[in-house]
Amino acid sequence: MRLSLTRRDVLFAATGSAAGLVLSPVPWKLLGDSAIWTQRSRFAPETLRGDITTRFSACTLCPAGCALRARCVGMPAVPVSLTGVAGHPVTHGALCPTGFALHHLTRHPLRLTGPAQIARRKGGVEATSRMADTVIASVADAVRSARTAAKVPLAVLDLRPGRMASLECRRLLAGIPGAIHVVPPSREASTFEAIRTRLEGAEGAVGPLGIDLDKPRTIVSFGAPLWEGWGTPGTVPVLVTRQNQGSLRLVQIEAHRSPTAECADRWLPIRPGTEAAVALGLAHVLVTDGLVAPEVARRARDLDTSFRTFVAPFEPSAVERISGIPASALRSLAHEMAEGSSLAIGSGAPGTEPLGPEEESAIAALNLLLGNAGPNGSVVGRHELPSPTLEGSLATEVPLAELADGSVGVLVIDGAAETVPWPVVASKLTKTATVVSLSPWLTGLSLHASWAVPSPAPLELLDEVLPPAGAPVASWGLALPLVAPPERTMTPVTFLSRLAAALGATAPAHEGAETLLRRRAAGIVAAGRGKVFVPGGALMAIADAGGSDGLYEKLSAGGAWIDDPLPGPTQSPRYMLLPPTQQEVASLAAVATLGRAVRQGDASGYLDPEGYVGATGAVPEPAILGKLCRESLLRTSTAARRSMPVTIREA
Amino acid sequence: MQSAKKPLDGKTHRYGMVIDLDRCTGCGACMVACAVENNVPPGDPAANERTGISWLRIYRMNDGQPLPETRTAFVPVPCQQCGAKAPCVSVCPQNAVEVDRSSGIVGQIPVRCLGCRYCMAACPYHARSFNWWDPVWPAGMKESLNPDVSTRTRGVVEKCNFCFHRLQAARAKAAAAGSREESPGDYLPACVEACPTSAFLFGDLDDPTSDVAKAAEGKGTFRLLEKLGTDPKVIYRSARPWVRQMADGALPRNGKEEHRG
Amino acid sequence: MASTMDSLVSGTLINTKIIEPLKTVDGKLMARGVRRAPLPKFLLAMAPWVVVLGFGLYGAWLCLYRGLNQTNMDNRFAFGLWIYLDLTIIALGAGAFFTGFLLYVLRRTEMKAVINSAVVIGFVCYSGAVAILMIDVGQPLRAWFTFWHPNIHSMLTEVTFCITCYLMVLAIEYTPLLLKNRQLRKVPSLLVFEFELHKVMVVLAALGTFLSFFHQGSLGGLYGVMSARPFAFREAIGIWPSTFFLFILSAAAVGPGFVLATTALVEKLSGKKLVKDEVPALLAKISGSLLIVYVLAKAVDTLVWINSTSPSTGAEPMSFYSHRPFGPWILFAEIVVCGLVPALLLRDGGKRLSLKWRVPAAALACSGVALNRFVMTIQTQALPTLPFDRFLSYTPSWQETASFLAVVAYGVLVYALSFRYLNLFPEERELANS
Repeated sequence: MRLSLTRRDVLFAATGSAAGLVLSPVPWKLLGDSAIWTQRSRFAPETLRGDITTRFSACTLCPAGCALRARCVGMPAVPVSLTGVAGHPVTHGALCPTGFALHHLTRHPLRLTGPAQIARRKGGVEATSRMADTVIASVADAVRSARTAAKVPLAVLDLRPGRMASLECRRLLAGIPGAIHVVPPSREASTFEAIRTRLEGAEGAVGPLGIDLDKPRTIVSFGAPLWEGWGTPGTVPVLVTRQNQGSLRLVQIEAHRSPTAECADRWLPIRPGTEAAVALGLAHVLVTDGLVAPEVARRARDLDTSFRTFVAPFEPSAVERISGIPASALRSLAHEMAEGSSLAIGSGAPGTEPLGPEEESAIAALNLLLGNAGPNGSVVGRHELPSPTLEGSLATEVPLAELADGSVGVLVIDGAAETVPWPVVASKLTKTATVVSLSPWLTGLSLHASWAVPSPAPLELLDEVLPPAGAPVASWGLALPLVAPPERTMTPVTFLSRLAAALGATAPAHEGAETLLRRRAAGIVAAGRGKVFVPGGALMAIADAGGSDGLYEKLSAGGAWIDDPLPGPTQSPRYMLLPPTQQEVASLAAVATLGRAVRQGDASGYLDPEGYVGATGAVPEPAILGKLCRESLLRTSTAARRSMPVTIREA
Repeated sequence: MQSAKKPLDGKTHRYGMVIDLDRCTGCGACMVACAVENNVPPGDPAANERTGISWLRIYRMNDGQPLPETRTAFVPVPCQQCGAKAPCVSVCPQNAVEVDRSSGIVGQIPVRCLGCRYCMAACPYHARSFNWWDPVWPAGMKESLNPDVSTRTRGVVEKCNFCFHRLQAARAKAAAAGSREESPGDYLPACVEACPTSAFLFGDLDDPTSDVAKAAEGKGTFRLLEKLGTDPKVIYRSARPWVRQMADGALPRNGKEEHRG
Repeated sequence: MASTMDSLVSGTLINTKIIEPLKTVDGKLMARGVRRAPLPKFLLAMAPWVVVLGFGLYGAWLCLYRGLNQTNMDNRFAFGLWIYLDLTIIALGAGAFFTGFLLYVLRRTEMKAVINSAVVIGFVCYSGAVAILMIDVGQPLRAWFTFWHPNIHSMLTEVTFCITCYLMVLAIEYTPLLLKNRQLRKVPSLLVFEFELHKVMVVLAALGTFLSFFHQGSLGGLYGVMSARPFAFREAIGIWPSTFFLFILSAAAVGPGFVLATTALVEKLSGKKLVKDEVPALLAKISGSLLIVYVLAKAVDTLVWINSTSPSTGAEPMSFYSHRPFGPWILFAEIVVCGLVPALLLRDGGKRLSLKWRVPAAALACSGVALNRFVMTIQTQALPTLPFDRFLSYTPSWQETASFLAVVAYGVLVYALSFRYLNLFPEERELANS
C-alpha cells in the first residue's frame, strides 16, 4: 500500500493540531507564565534577605541630632527604614521628613567616597578622585605657603562644635603652628547670645540659655520656624499640644507665609528686613503704655535714661509706615504680650537671610522688658554638658565673626550642613586661599572647595548628640554607626593627624572616638545629675545607670541622658536694654528705621527646612523628599514660600 | 494576599484611624515614611502630583478668607478603607480588590491587577495611584528596599493598605508566642509611627477599650463624604468648626457603620 | 507628457511584473456585474489611510513599549480619550446587531440590503475597540485574568465577556461575506461551509442581539453603579442602574442612523445607488422612533437625578454644571439639539421635509451619543469630589489621538476593501442595471 500525502491531508493535520493545541493546557500555561514574566521583569529589584533586627542611632545631619530606631535586614545588617524613638525626652519620638530617608543618603549621587580634587567648570562642579596622600600633600603645601602669605595659615571651621571630636581636633591643631579652630555662630542661639550680652552679674544666667516651652502664653516669632522643628523637631509636639489646649498662642511675624505661619494663630506679614522696627515698636508700646512689670523695670539700667528716648520714634504708626503692620495690630499685640508670660524669638527662617545682630538686639530688648530673664521668664539657664578635659594644649577657639576679613590661607570645613552662608565664610579668606571640605557630599560649602577629604556619612560614624539649641536642659545621646563607611573615607581627626604629620608637626596620639565618648559618659556620671531614658522604660536616676559603662551601654541601645533643670534666679538680673557700644546703637537705629536690604535669596539650592534648624539647607536632598515636592501639592518646591504682595518691596 | 474568609480564631477586627487635624502641621513626614516603608519610588522626572504615586496625600485646606487672615488646615488622606460596600471592590473585573473580613482592610492585589483603572474612577477620595512608568528606585533606596513589601510593575494600580505586611508580622509574632490574637501595640502603620505630633491614632475600632475607638466617639469627629455611604474607617476630628464645616458640611457621623469588614 | 509617462510606464518591467498582475488579481477578486474604481485610483485613495494607520500604529507601539505615561491620562483622569471613543464607536457599531435583529428575528426583509454593510461596520467598530482596549490597560498580557477570576458584581466583567463573545459572533457573521467572494466561492468546501453557516445565522443574530443588549447596557452601567460619584450615579431598576437602559436605547436608536449615514456616504463616494429608497426610509423611521423613546427616558432620568438621586448623595446637582465649560447647555444639547431634533427630523423625513435632511439628522444623533459618552466619561472625572479638590482638565496626547486614528484608518481600509471585493450591497447590481 502506498502512502500518498496530499495538500489536503497536510492542511487537515495542521488545522486539527491547532485545534487540539487550543484544547490542551499549553496556551493557558503560556498565558500564565507570561503573566508571571511581567512581574519578574528586569525592573523588579532584588530585596535584602535575612533576619530583621532593630538598632538605635541618631541622625547627625543637623545639630538637632534626633534619635532614631532603625529596622535592619540581613547580615551585615542594612537599615531599610527609620523612625523616631517613642518617649524620648528630647525628641518625643519626632523625626523630620529628611530623617526618614537618611539611610538613602549614604549612596546619594553627590556622595563622595574618597579624597578628590574639586573643580568648578561651566557645566557645574566636578570631583575627580585622587589618592589620599596626594591630597594631603597638596594641602600641606598650601599651608606652608600660607604661612608667609596669610595671617592665619590654617583654620578649621567646625560646623558642629562642642563634640569630643572637636576637642580632639583642637588638640591636634595645637601641634600645628598658626592653626586655629573656628566656630560658626549658631542661628537659633543668636537670640540667646544677644540676651546674654545684656545681662550683668553672677546672678544672671552665665551658661547656655534655653526656652522652657511650657511657660509662655504668647510666643511672637520673628520668622523662627517653630512649627518646622526649630531647635529640634521634638519641640513641635509640645507646642502643638499647648496650642490645642488653648494655653499657647503663636503670632508669626514674617514676610513670607511659611508653614509655621500657616499653623500660627495669627500671621502678621511685614516687609522683609523690618523685623527690628517691629520689635522696637512693640517695646515702645510696652514702655509708653506702662506695661513693663515694676520688678522688671527696676532692674533695667537704661530704661528710663537712654532706652525710652531711643525707642520714642518707633511709635506704632511710624512702624506701620516702615514695616506694613497695622498700628492697631501692633498695639494690641504688645498689650497681649504684657498680659501673660510671653516670649519673642528671632533667628530667622532657614532658606532666607538670618536675622542680623541688630534685629536680635531689638528682640533681646523686647524679651528683657517682658521679664524673660527673670524668675518667671521663659528663658532659662541650663547646666553645661559635662566635658572632660583633654591632656595637652588645645588650639584657640575663635568665633567666625571675630576673624579678620581676608586673613585665612587654608580653610578646612568640618561638617556637611551649610550653617553659615558661603559669602560670610568667603569674606574671611585671602584671595588665593585653599578650601578643603570634609563633607561626605558635594553640596553646600563643599561646592566652593578645591579639595575634598570626605568623612563617613551619618549612620556610618560613631558620633554624639549634643543638646539642641534652645534646649532648657542639657542632654546627651549617641549616634552609633549602622553601616560600614566606604574604605577611602577618613574621619576629620584622622585627616588632621595625617596633615599634621605631613607638616612635620608632632601630633599627640589620638584616643579614638569611642574612648573619648566613654570619657564624656564618665564625666556625666561623675557630675551626678540627671536621669537616663531607655526605650520602652521609665526614666531612671543617673546613680542607677550602672556607672559610665552602664550609661554608655544604655545610650548605645537607644537611650539618652537628660540633665536636671538649673534652679532659676530668685530675682531678675540687672540688664541693659541697648547694645553696649555707641556704634551698635547707631547701627540698630539705622537698620530699624530704614529696614535691611534683603537679598531675595537664591534659595534654589536650599533644602526643605524641616528640622533643619541651624542648617539652612544644602545637604543633599533624598530623592523621596524631592518626590514630596514634585508629586504633591504640599510643597511646590523646597524653597518656594508665599508672600503677601502688599508688604513686599522691590528688593 | 492571604486573607482568611474566616480567621482562625473567629475574631474579626475593624482597624481604623482617627486623624486629629488640629495636630497636623503638614510636615510630610508621614508621606515620606509611607514611601520608604512601601517601596514607593520617586516618579519619572516628568511626574507631577497627578501622575506620581502617593499612597497617603496631605491636602492643604484654606478657609477662603483673603491673606493674611486665611486659616489653613492640613488634611492627610490615605485610603479611607471603606466598609463592605467599598466603591472600588465591586467594580474590579478581576476580583483584585477585596475587603478582608478579619481586619476590615481593603486590599489590592497588584499582581492580579490588569490596569483598567476602573477602581480609580470609582474612588471618590482619589486614594489610588497608577504606575504610569516603570518604577525606578534611586541609588540608596534600591539597596535598602523593605523586603516585606513586594514591588510593583508599571501598569498596575496601588494604594494604601494600612501597612498590611505589618499586620502579618504582628500575627506571626503572636503565633510564635503561642497566641491567636495579635497584640494591639505590635501593629502600627508607618505613617502612624512617623507622625512627629502624634496626629494619628490607630487601632481596632471594634474594641471599645482601644484609644482609637474612644476617640472615634469623641466630639468633633467626622468622616469625609459621609453621605456617599462608603462607611470609611478613617475618621477625622477637629475642634475648629470651620475645618469640620469645610471638610464635610458639619455633618455628624451617622452611627450606622457596619461592624463587619 | 502624460502619454510619454504612460508609454514609459506601460512599457517598463514594473508594469509587466507588478502593476499588470495586480490589476489582474484585483479584477478577479471583484464581483461580476459591478463597476469599481480603477486600481491605481483606489490605491491612491487608500494611501493616506495607510499612512495614518502606520503613524497610529507607531503611537500605539510607543504606548505599549514605554508605558501609559505616553498618554496624558493621570490618576484623576483614569479614563481618557480612548475609553470615551471606545464607548462611542461601540454605540455606533450597534447598527450591526440591530439590523440583524430586524432582519433575522423580526423578519424585515428590507434590511437585507444593508445587513452586510452593517456587519462590516460592526466588525471594524468592535475589533477596533478591543484593539484600543488592549493598549489602554496597563498590563495587556493579563487580559485573560478577567475570564479566569471574574467578578460577577462588576459591570466591566460583563462588558469584557459580552464584547469578546460578540466580537466572535461578528467575526462569524463576517465570514460568509468573505466566503462569498468570487474567488473563494470556487472552493466547494468553503461554499458548503458558508451554506451551513447561513442556516445558523438566525441563532447568531439572536445571540448577537442578546449579547449586544447586555454589553451596551453594561457600558452604561459602568458609570451608573459608581455610588461614590454623584454625577454619574443613577437609581437602579432591578439590579441595573438607569444608565444601563439609556445606553441600550441610545445605541439601538443611533445604530440604524449610523448605518443610514454610512450608506449615504458610500453612495456618494462611489457615485452609485446602492440601496432602494425604502431601506433608508425604514432606517430613519426606526431610528427616529427609538430616539424619541430615548429622549423621553433620558428626560425622565435627568429629572429624577436632579430631584432625588443627586441630592441624596449630598450634592447639589446644578453645582456639577457650574464649572466652565461644562454648563447646563450640555444637557440641553444632549437631550434637545442632538436628541429631540434629529428624532423628529428622522421620523418626519419624507413627509414634510425633504429626504436630504435625513443624513444630517442621523449625524446629529450620532453626535448626541458621542456627547453623552463624553459627559459620562470626561465630565464625571473632571468634577471635584473632595471639598479641597479642584476641577481638572485633560488634553489627549498625540500618541492617544494617533492610536485612535489608526483604528479609524483600519476601519476605512477594511470597509473599502470589503466594498471593493465583497458583496456588501446585494441590491447594487439590480439598481445598476435598472
